[in-house]
Amino acid sequence: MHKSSIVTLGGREYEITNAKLRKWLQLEDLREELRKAADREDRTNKIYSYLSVAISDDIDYSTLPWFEVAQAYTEVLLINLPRLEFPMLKSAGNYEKVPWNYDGRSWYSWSHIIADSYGWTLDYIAELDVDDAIGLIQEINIDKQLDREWEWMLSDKSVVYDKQGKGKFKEYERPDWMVDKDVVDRTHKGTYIKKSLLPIGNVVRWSDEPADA
Amino acid sequence: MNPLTLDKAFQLYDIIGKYLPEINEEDDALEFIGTIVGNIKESYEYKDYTDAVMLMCGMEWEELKEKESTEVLELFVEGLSVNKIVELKSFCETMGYSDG
Repeated sequence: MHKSSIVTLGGREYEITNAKLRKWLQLEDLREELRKAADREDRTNKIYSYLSVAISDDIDYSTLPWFEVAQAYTEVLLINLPRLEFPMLKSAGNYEKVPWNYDGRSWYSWSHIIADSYGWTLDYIAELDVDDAIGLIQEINIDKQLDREWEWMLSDKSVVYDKQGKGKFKEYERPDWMVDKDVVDRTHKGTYIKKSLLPIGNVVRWSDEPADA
Repeated sequence: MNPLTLDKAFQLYDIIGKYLPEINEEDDALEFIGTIVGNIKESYEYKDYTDAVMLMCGMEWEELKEKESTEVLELFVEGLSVNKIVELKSFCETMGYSDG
């Protein structure tokens, strides 16, 4: 969905539009860096970098009145908010630091996940609508999680034994955004069978076959 | 008097953020500024007051100390007005920027 707005900087009007996936991830990374900014100078520079990516890098933001910069920043932020309320985005996001992380990894991580599932080119993925991309990533993550849960359920790791040797099913942990807060214990809701493992179409049993066939 | 750039505006917020009252939609800008002046007076932190004026006016202490106190107060009020202090507080709070 195309969204646009006009911001005035230094007496000149600039049209801003909502970013496509690759640029949006770049902006989100900058927003995260801004959140972690150590001091005033760092924070200011991160806002300038954010606007340089979103609007234009030909503008000297450091000479403009603060309120013009603040208004532009707010406009860009608002115009780039996803339209839909994706549960995945409500995650607490307490991701552990991994040694293979680096600045700008978001794009490679997201594009890898989408390309792996759909086989689309990087150029095509880069220009995806942000809501479409988030929705697809969420579905891919759900599929992967349910696959892991199924494998877990079939492994001996899913059963823990007490001192009397009595086994009890131990659930595979779900990310917080997939946990239904109203249903804490899923075992009381019956056994979950993956939809992909259910038979497709009419089920024909040997006993249903005519005797002379 | 020219409005401050973003870096200087954050600096201003560092200095006077602790004296800013809660934003009340019914108050006008002058009432808001009046409360700030009152809060600084009560704290006896006059250095914050002069530092804010120097920052907003781009003035050195040597120049400021020669001015009448009423003139300095006028500069302070004008500076806060030019720099839209109510919006600055709101923006800094939205950004999670803590004063000082």
